[in-house]
Amino acid sequence: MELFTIGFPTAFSLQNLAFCFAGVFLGTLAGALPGIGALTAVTLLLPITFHLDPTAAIIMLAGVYYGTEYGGSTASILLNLPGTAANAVTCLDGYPMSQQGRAGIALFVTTIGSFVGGSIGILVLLALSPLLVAFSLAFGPAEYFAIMVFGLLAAATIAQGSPIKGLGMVVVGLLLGTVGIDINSGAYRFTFGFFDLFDGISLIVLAMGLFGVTEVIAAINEQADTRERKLNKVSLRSMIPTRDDVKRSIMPILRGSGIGCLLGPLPGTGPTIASFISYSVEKRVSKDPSRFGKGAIEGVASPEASNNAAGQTAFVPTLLLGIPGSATMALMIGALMIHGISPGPRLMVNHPEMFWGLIASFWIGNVLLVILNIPLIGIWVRLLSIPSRFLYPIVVVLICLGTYTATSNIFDIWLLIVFGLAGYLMRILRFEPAPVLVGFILGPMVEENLRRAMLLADGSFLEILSRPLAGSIIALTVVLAVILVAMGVKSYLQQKGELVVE
Amino acid sequence: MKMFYAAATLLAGSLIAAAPARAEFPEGPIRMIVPFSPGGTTDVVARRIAPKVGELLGTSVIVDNRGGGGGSIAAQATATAAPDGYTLMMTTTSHTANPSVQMSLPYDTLKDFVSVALVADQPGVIVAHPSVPVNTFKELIEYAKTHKLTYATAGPGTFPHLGIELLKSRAGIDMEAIPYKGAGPAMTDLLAGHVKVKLDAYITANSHVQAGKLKLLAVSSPERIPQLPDTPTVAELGYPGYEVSFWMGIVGPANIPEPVRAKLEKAFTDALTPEIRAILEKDGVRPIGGTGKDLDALIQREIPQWAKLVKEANITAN
Repeated sequence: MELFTIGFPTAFSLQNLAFCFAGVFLGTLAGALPGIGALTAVTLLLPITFHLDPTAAIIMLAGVYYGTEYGGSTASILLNLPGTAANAVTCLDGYPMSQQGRAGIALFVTTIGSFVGGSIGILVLLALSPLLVAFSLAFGPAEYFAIMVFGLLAAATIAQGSPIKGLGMVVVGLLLGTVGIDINSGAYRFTFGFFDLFDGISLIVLAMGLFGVTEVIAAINEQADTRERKLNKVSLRSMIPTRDDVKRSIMPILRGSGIGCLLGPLPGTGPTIASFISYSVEKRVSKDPSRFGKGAIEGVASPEASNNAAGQTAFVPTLLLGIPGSATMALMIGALMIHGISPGPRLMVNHPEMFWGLIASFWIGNVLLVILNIPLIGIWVRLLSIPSRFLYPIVVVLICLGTYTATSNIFDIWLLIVFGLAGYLMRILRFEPAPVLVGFILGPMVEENLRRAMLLADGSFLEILSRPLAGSIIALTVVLAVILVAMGVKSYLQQKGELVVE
Repeated sequence: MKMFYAAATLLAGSLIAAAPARAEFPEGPIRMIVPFSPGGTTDVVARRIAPKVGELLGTSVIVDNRGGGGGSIAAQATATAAPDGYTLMMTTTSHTANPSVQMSLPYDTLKDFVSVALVADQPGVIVAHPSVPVNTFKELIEYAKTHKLTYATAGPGTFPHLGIELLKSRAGIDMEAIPYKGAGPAMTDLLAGHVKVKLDAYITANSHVQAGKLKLLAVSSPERIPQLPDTPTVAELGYPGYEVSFWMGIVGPANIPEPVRAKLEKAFTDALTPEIRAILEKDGVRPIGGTGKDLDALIQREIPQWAKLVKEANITAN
């Protein structure tokens, strides 16, 4: 009830409304521009918030945060450049749709999926706040380990084409993830004497290099005129989905929202993992998994709903526990602390106008985003339909600038180029970049949590298995693995059988 | 490829701050490197005092965030900057711990820096999860002697790690360190009771203590802190001289001309006006306003202390 008595009046004040709009607008812009993600945009805006009232400040920063999730999908679909890491998986089917001239539909479904996901996320945030706090606390190192292993298994199914190559790429990601100081022993791993690698490789650098720079290099190689994409065709009319599209999107959007709501509050997982997992779930439940990667609408609808839902529920631990799930959330906490507000269990009691105002602003922001995205889609599209010879240099500059503002390190620009070249090589050899990213994100978490869980369990793996939640997830993972292997064997035998029959 | 070079050159160019000192210092903006990404306490303190320091010197002070490597990346950037007073670093406890914790630093912590001012520190508190059946610090020590206890660190050689290790060596008790990447995730698991004890900053622990989610046992500073007048210090409970604090001081590259250093020192100490002190206290930070000498003394005291502790506790694998 406080939402209506305190929340909406606060959020509808002229000032807060203006900052909400500024936030989602800048967020969409930042998300649509490759190389600039939520982290960069929030970092750049942070100093401005010092001079604002704390409620307006957090409303604006939050708007930027979930606005980038919307905007990020635009670049993924139209350019195969993930605006943010959470949109990387959207490239897999969004870009093929765009190549088939179905970009308008992909963008429409994304916007609606994002809105539904975001709204469900807000409802969950609202209704289950106290419960979710307890849930995220029940997740100890053992449970994290279990869910991460599940995620890795799911990652192996994301890959297109050769499963061996996909698995190989996951391993490359795992190896890249070990670079840096080992937090258990303090040992340096794979730093090659480079001081700048002590803290490991930044996710931004890896994602931008493998997806962004690679795409630019590939574009140079292709004929300029054949590269003229079917961008101009995105009119409002082209956005109307067919009956079949609608039917295919509803369940994935709902499933994606559910997965996002569940994973959002877990520190460290957030929108990126949520989008990857929901993509692989869609591929699993689909009657015809071979459509994925070739423009399946489910592959766009589900992850986009998922990352927006996760984006909203990620605020639960941030605001109610004072625990940031990601670097961007850490900045939000920083912005509050600058104003002398410490997020935590007492926030809802001590600053009700801020807490409920923020929640109300989420909804207003999500509505604003639909308005920004559907009728104004033409503007974002025009932004991206600039001829390649102008667009790509701009994209490279933005990627470099975005990386630099996020890490403040010239070394990372060189690393970005290295990953770009590596990504191009991978593309020529038909290796998928997405599993690399998943291995890179999940690998260190698997290791860290397993070692922590083992320390806490006195080195007994059985004790980890005997924890109800962790044990169930591991059991589920094993079952899934067995099914996957069984299906693989079955299709192998079938193929063999057919050969014999022939 | 040209674009890459152009972008890189542009970025590099914007980093090289101002012209070298000639006539009257300062002639241009001063860059204050913060060894953390934006948003943390050190960054907040730096941004609080930067405008005032700039005002006193008649120039602007720009905060430049260079996180990573436990502060050693920022320190390396400072050590290799021109010693003209235009590049400074707001450094912290990790500055004195790094020589012991990290295998090889590309700079010499004692020789490559000159101390400018000791700005502030953040009092630490020892907190425990409610499931630990103790209510006082003394009971915690007794309990730890007979039971297995775990404590959370923010990574090897961080303030929560070193502080508890120092306590373990002073009190002759054992607790197992459970490493986390940063204080945030460590706090999550402490609140959930997966780990039992933590040395944390007053400001982050306090709201959890008030909400009854953590037990407050002692403060780690040498004197009691004004916000917690009833909470005893570790030192007064039988471990005199026990002191760990998360301090924030200003250093610059060695060989800054003494008049320039003195001018900076005056600006940084004068910047702690009653108004700014009040703001910092609200942030949970204790303003000090110490001189370069004070910071030197602190650094000289801590380096051997951490070196001895790290060797005893075998904190690094190297």
